[in-house]
Amino acid sequence: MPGLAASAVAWLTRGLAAVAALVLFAMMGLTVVDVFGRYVLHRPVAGSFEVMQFLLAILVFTALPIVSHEREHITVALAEGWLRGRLRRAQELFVLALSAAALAVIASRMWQQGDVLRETQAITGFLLWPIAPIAYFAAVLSGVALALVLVRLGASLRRC
Amino acid sequence: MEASLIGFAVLLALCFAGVPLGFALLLVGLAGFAFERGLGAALAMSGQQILDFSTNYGLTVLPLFVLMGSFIHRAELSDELYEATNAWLGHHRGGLAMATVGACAGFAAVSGSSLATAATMSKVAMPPMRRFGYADSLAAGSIAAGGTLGILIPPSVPMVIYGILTETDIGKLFIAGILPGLLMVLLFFAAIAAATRIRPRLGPPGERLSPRARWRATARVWGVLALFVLVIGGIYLGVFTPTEAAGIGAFGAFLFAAMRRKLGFAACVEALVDAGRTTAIIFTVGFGALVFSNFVTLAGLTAAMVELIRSLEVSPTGVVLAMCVLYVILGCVFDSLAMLLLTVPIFFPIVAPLGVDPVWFGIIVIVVVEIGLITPPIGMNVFMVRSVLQDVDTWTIFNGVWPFLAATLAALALLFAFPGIATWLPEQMVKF
Repeated sequence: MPGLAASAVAWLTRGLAAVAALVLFAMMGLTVVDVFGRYVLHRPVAGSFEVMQFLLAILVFTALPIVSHEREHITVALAEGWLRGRLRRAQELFVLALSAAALAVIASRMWQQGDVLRETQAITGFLLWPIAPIAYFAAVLSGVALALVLVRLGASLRRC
Repeated sequence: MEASLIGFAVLLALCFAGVPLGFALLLVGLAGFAFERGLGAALAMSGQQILDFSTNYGLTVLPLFVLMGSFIHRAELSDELYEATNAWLGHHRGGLAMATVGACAGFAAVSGSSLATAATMSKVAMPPMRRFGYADSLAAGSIAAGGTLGILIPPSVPMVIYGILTETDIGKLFIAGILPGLLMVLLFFAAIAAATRIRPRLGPPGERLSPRARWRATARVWGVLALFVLVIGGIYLGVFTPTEAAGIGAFGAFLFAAMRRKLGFAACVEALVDAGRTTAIIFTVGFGALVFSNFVTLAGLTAAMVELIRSLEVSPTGVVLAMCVLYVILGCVFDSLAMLLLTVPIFFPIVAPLGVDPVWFGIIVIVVVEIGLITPPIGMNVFMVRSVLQDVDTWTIFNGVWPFLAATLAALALLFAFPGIATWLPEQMVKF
């Protein structure tokens, strides 16, 4: 990978990590405030239930590009240890290509869901927040994960 | 039926080729569903399932419990835990290994991960055992096996996943894990006692401490006890929902680590990011498992299996027993979370109509997953201990594990013979 692209990727994943950390901290904080509010102040946080749902989706899809880029997904991978040379490279290409395909499915499906939710003007039950943006967010971030896998795929194609 | 068998074959082939499990499940599930109902339906189904899964409130419990473990891991409390258990047990034959198991149980009470438990104990328990001349096999084996308590003693991330997949009350599952966890600790003690009785040189006794020193060491682990009582007690008494307990537990662990000055800003961010990554990893497999299990159900595998079992007139217990055997085999290849996400959506619909108690089945599944963690060729806990203790051979650890394996099998047998070990305590929970 050329130096510039590599450092851009590094900055991107670092930024995503910061967002993920913030979101998870907010989930923890919101739960604590909610419980405290309910038992001590007798005033629970209204709509915390729905905020938590949104935060969960944001957390998952923010971290998805990071774990996809760093290849931290759960694998069985018995073949890796046995393959050598050209076969090993072919296996790597195969794995990256299928990972890209799966992420492409997720990204396009999330976009599609976003369209459906926007057209039907779906909103949450209590806060009346539109749900479509969450689906679009998921689509874009899955797209980022896809792009990062494609960068890797390109790099390993060039090595062939 | 045939389609789902072909699906399984392709899935296994992709997994062995190194395709991440979540992606392989998603692609095979999608293709299979498309084969049965057309591509349009398959795409619509998977899109909706994935989005629903990611915005499911019940799932917020997962990142929060992972975060609790992440903070606890950084609090470095394993030293104190080990000193406390060692003060009480160390003077017995094999006592330091028993202390290791006890400390693992203590750590497990505030952490939901077996790997984290094994990793943190490797650093702490190994040096004293070496100093007293313990055989590497027994020493490392007790850490790897003790680590498995991490997922049986609540909180437990695999139990959370099981609860989500089967819509079983996570609080009940946690409470159900307590007695089997204690039973397992006792059986591990017995295994160590038996092994050192046969070969005393494996683990000589350590020094005996005065009662005062014992209590002083015990007093230093008050934080662990407080956190456990807060989180699990809160669930037991119905004060918190599991999600709330997870949030409170994570916050408690955060304060605990911060008070011990182990958690600077950088370490805090690192703990958060780690938990976020783990969440994304689990969710990715979850996406795939959802789509795949939809395909398998649609293809009629579940119905065919239920029908087959009915026609064979096997007792429900016999079915669960057969599944346990299958789990042990799968455990040779799959890691624990992957195995749960893959099998539970398929197995549970088979056993549920047979009248098998979902809480009891959950505990059985956790125990067989534990077996997979310490058996070759892929015993993740053994690998974890090995990665911390660079100078111990993997097979030495597997050699040391077998008394504990026997103990785990004994626990499994007892759970089959007396299901009440798992189901009695949750039945006593306060109802609102």
